Amino acid sequence: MNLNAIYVQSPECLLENMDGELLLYNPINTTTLHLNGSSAVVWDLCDGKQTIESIIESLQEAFPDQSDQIAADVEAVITDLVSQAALVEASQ
Amino acid sequence: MSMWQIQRAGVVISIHLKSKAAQEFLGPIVDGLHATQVSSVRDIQLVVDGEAGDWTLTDHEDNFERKLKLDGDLIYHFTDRIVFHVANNAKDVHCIHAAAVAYKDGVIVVPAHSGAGKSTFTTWLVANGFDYITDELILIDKDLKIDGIGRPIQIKANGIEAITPLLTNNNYARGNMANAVPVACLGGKIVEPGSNRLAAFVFPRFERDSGFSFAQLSSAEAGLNLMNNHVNARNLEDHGFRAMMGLIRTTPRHSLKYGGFADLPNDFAQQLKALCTDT
Repeated sequence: MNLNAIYVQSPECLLENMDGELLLYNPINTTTLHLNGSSAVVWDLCDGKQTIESIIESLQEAFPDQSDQIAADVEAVITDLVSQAALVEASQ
Repeated sequence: MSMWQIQRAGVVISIHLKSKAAQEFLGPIVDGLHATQVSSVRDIQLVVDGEAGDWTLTDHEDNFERKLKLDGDLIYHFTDRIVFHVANNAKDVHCIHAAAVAYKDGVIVVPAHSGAGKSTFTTWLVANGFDYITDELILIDKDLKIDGIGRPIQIKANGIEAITPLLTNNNYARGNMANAVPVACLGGKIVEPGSNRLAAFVFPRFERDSGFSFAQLSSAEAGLNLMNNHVNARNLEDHGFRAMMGLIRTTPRHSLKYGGFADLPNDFAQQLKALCTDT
């Protein structure tokens, strides 16, 4: 994965906070995603400004005890959300 | 009379039961779908002709024609065409792939994909005193009233043994695709159109030998399941997402897991009826 890539939330997606848990509906492919805690954080940080690397670094600073696992987790979440068309590359 | 019209959510389906045998066999079923007899219709969509063992079903809108030998298969395909046209064309209602039953004015909606056991569970509910709305498709309007396509309950061939103890008679129609079980075979009745209110969602999961669990479901999990069973989202503002999430937040919701009717507690029907009468 290109860690310098920048991703942005698909503007078509609809988000609902369901008693503290996030549900994301994508009208393009009519899929609904349940974003768990870490997925919701990554989704929120994909603001069209931060690279993947900077997202990983900011999370490693916030959660130093999980530092080793964070890079793989962030990449997995972004890969999944891109495959579901919920995130798109900012340059596209 | 041989001409009927079914109207749901702005969708009008015209039906011609052409032969006398078709009128006698399907007339009561069409009546149960809350259809209206008419003297003539301009554009016939569904036509049933022939006799037992040699039925012909034609859907002129989709250039669909099928020869059917078994009564259960005729009912399966005939009602499937109706469900399809309603779900495909309804615009101002939410169409959900779900069963629904009522007790007094409270409705329990059972959303599930095919094969999850919702029809089988519906037979149990009807046999235990709930009135029948549908085993396949519900329509929720802007006032949150529930309507459904009240076809005979469709039980796959491998499921008929499980429901046999619930039957008060064996006057159901055999088929290869499914057996069509009228609610009268379960001692039940179809809900008349009128006022009702959504009382609860129950999301079922049948797993053989799994035992029984019935638990509250988080709004996120319930919302995810509900949207996965929403069949006309494309026709609605915001794909119905925000409206359905609002509904989920304000409606009791439960998950049900069971491995057979024997797993269901003796007071389970009473628990569900209490959900229907809670205000």
